[in-house]
Amino acid sequence: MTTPPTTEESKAYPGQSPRPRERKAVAWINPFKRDASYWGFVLNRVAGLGLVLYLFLHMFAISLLLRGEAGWDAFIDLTTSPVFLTLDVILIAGILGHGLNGLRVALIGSGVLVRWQRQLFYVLMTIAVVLLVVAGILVFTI
Amino acid sequence: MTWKVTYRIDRYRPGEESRTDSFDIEIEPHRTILDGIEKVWALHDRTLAFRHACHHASCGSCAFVTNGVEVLPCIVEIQDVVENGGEIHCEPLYHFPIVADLVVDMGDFFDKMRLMEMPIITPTDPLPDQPPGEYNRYENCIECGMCMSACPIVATNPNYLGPAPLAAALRTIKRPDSSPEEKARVWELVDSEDGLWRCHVAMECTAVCPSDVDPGGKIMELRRMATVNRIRSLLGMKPKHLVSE
Repeated sequence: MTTPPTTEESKAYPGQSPRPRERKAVAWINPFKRDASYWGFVLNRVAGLGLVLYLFLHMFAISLLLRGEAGWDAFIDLTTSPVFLTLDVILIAGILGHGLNGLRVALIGSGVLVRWQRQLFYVLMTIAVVLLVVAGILVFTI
Repeated sequence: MTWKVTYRIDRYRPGEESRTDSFDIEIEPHRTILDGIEKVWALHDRTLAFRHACHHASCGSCAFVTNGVEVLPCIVEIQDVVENGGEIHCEPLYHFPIVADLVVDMGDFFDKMRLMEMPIITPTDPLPDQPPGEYNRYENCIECGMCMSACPIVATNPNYLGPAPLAAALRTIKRPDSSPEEKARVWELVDSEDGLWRCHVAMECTAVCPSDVDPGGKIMELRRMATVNRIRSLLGMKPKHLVSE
């Protein structure tokens, strides 16, 4: 990787302020007053982190099988509680948001529909919301 | 008719704690944000540091962040940002080292632009009042740095080339008079870990660009070219748009 050189001129201000770390973090993740696609960027980061967390929780849940039938049955009982079902709906929201927005990123990253990327975001998120409502109804009624 | 507007301006001097100062001014709503800054400087605080030159979106030197979004304050009217009695929070551009108040160090950014053969100096027919041999630059990018400030990847990776330099790279690669060596050298920088593949498609660069350069779209075009080149390479063909042309 070629790293751009830094000129002497750019180092000419000995007292110049580096940005405080917390300001950098806010500038990175804060989507307020930003464009729709920036919301998509933040959505994918937040949902991605959530899905990684879920993966570990899922492996922990599967590991309960090692405790035998009683431990597993107790866990299955827990999964039918309203709180757990709500978490299921949040999980589906994360999968839909991350997956459909990821599809958009893959498309425009390949040079497809770049000019309509904002509209594509709105369309895909509308689809995500519709699917989420259907999934939510199914989760709580089946 | 004048409005009463409060300018909240982030202040910084080397060796001092940064702070935010408030200035109440009366100003016509159709005046620009830069007009207000100049009024603050003229009537309230002559130590306020800010950059400006052309006042018509040509030089790109006055850019800063207003109420959380990058603007070119010389062309944005006060009434487009606040109501009468409102506040305008002015911060220096994000992701650049601060020199003082609203002035940031653009050195590294200009270095990256230079790597991409920007600014492009194009010989033109002289205007009637210009002596022969004068050169003018006809490029959309005014190198204001707003796209770099709005980009979340620049926030976390200072080695990332950034939106404007990548857009400039595409310009160099597409210019018919760029030499094959120039194109190959620029492409090597662009098709790299901290080049076009580092972009995460937040597209805020395109949203804030005051000159319709569409840096995000340009980066996506570079990606498409890179993908095509990869496929051509697998098929044993020469890369398109580069040394072969």
